[in-house]
Amino acid sequence: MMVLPAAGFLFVAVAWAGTNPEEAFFKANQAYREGRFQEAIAGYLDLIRSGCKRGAVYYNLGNAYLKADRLGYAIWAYERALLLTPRDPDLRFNLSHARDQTRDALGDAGGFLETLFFWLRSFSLQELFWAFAGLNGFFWSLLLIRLFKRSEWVYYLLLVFMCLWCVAGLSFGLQYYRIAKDERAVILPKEVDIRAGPDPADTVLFKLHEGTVVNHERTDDGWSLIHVSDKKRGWVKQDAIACIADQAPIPD
Amino acid sequence: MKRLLVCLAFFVAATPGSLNAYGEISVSLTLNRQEATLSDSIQMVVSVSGAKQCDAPPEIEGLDRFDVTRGGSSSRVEIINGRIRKGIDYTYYLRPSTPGTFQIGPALARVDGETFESNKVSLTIVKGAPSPDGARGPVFLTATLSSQEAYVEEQVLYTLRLYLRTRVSNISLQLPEQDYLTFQQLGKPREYQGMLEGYACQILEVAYAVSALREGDYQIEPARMEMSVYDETRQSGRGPFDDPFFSNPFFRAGRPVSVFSEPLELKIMRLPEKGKPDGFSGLVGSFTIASELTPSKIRAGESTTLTVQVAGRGNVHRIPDLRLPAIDHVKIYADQPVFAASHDLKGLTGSKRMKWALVPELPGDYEIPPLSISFFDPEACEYRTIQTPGHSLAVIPGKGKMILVDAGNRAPGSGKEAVQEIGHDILPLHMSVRDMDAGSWTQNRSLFVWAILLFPALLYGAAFTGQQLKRRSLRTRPIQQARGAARRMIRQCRQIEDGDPTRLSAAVREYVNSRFGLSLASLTPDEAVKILRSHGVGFETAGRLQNALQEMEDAIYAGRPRENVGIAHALPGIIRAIEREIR
Repeated sequence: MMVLPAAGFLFVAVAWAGTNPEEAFFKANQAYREGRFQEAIAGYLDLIRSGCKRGAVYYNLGNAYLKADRLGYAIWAYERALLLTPRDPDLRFNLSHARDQTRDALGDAGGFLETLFFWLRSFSLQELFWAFAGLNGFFWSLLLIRLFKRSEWVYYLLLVFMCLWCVAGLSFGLQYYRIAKDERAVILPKEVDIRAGPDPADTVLFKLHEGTVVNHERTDDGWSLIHVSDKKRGWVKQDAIACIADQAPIPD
Repeated sequence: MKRLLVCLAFFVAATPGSLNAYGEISVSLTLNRQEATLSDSIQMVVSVSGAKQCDAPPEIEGLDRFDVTRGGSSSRVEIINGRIRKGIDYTYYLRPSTPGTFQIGPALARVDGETFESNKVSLTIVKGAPSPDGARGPVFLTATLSSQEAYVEEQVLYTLRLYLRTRVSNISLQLPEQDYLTFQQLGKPREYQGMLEGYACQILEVAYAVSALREGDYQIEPARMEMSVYDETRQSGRGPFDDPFFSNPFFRAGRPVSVFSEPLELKIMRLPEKGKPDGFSGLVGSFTIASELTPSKIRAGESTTLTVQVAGRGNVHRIPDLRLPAIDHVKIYADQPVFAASHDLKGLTGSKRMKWALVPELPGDYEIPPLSISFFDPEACEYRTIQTPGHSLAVIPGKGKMILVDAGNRAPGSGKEAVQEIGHDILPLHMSVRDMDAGSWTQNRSLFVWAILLFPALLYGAAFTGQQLKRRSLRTRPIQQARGAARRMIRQCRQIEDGDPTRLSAAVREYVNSRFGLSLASLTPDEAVKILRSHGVGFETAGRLQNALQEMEDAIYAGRPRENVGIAHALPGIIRAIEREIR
């Protein structure tokens, strides 16, 4: 029964994108199962570019990339899927499997906010939004009741819901900020030179390998400034990295 | 010095006479040889006689196939039979790029706007054959290989020696380029003195480690060195400038010279299949392995360090990262290997140091298994396997409580076998449409998001506003009723067209009651005046209403109810005046 509303939504997406995403999804899956990974990748990318940015599509794309021996692209796709479906156990397993294959040993860049709001990693922005929206409805409903009936139990209930409302609102806002300001990017080629400046003649400072997650600072004239730590920062060709942020362009 | 002063005096004395002694202007082009090889440098001089200077350097035809370097210009003065003749010489150095016979010239020189043409000369360039040792010039280059045969990735020394019997500067080297051959320079070039054919000469030596990635017969092309040569014989004559100071190359233009080494042949053989160990890493050369376990006696739960170092000479970048096999009841933490490479005059050397921290969980004696590495020894033409000695680790009971993390493949305390990982792969695709619907976010739906979030607040705001309005309405109802009383009164006056005094009197009473919040059953003219005056209405307006009420009472009690139509028309004006004057 749950399939019906989902299919209905997809039907709306059909008219919007001009293609049938459900059919494209099945075709790409079929290509994957038959070992035609490049064709599967092209199918999933078409779906994403047409606006069908779903966790499952990114997850399947990551699988296809991994089977096609494109580790950097696979980790990029899995990271994007993780933003949408953070508690998907299959996704976490495959991402861990892909990360095990990377060469560069870099620390986890967890910040103060991630430590304080530890649950942000376990919930998607959509889930946090609906949680906040529900609590928001309860909170204002209690205020409405209190407008007409000033009883003691309404007062205490209002205090509880106000605390929950604040936590949910802050979590939603922080998650939105995290995703909107996500500076992470993934190294795509097998090995890239990180240089001291945006020029091929500049000194090579160090090398990074595919799948390594770096922090992207800015892009100038086809070159991107990245850093992996305070002491390891430099310039790399823009097409050698793919930004994880949802608004960033899809790598070819 | 005295001689120099005499020469200068002679030139000063001769200069005035030369002003009318230029004579006929002529241009000539000469080469220092008519035949040369590709590696030679030919000197070409364009002499302009009879002129002190040219308008511009001469233009010379026929130099398309030559690399031309300017050697500067010099003025000259000739005194023949008492006649002074001046001239200027332009010197060039030609380096041929292709063999053949070439016509060079004419050179066109412009003097005082007039163009003069020189003669043409012929120059033949032949392919340069390696000169026999006895015929070598003052500068020559040799190349040698330490071995004519080698195995894939075996190092061979390629040594270039530049022999110098004269001064040179600006030396540049162009190495031969060959697919699948790599050249790695071994240190800085060395410079030393040597004897060659009985003459002392200076030798510049630079060495390279050459290795091939594939088997085959390689022809190593000649290396090429370019430099500026300062010919000692040019300054042989003792003249007025025969001073060591002027022999400094700074004051002389060098002659560009290219020298080539001999072509060499190198045969590269593939590594033999016989005896090749399993998992051979491709290491070729000579290597040693050493290991150390410190400390060798610890408590359970403490750590000891196993250090293994592989060092040697050869393709050291191929030294593999060794893997320490699992040891029961010992947790193993591998450190990042440290690789160091260097070189000496015999080739590339390097070492890789690998460390493991070993933490035994239980007391007892442990045997650390030996680690081995295989390489191909080109000198012995065989594969060799070297290994570390085994180490013993004595572990005594720890001070604190021991924690069993993993007892082999047995789950601790349960007696059941722990799950072993056999293969690695990813989990399958998400296939259903429901999967596809999961994880979609309301991108570009900000209106929807704001509507969902703001709707409860707006609802509450509306309810709150309604409640406040309701309260305010209750408070202001009397005022609203009072303001409405005047409108009703005026409307009634218009409706009572016949001027019925009874109805008019009742309307006025109702107006007063409503306007001032009273509930009078009857209203006399005097009472009306009092009420109006108490609310700030002027005496005149109050009097007008008093008169009107008086007339209505008179009409009612006198039995003339139909004779007061005029009052009905006057009353609206009175009411409006009252409304204006009320405080």
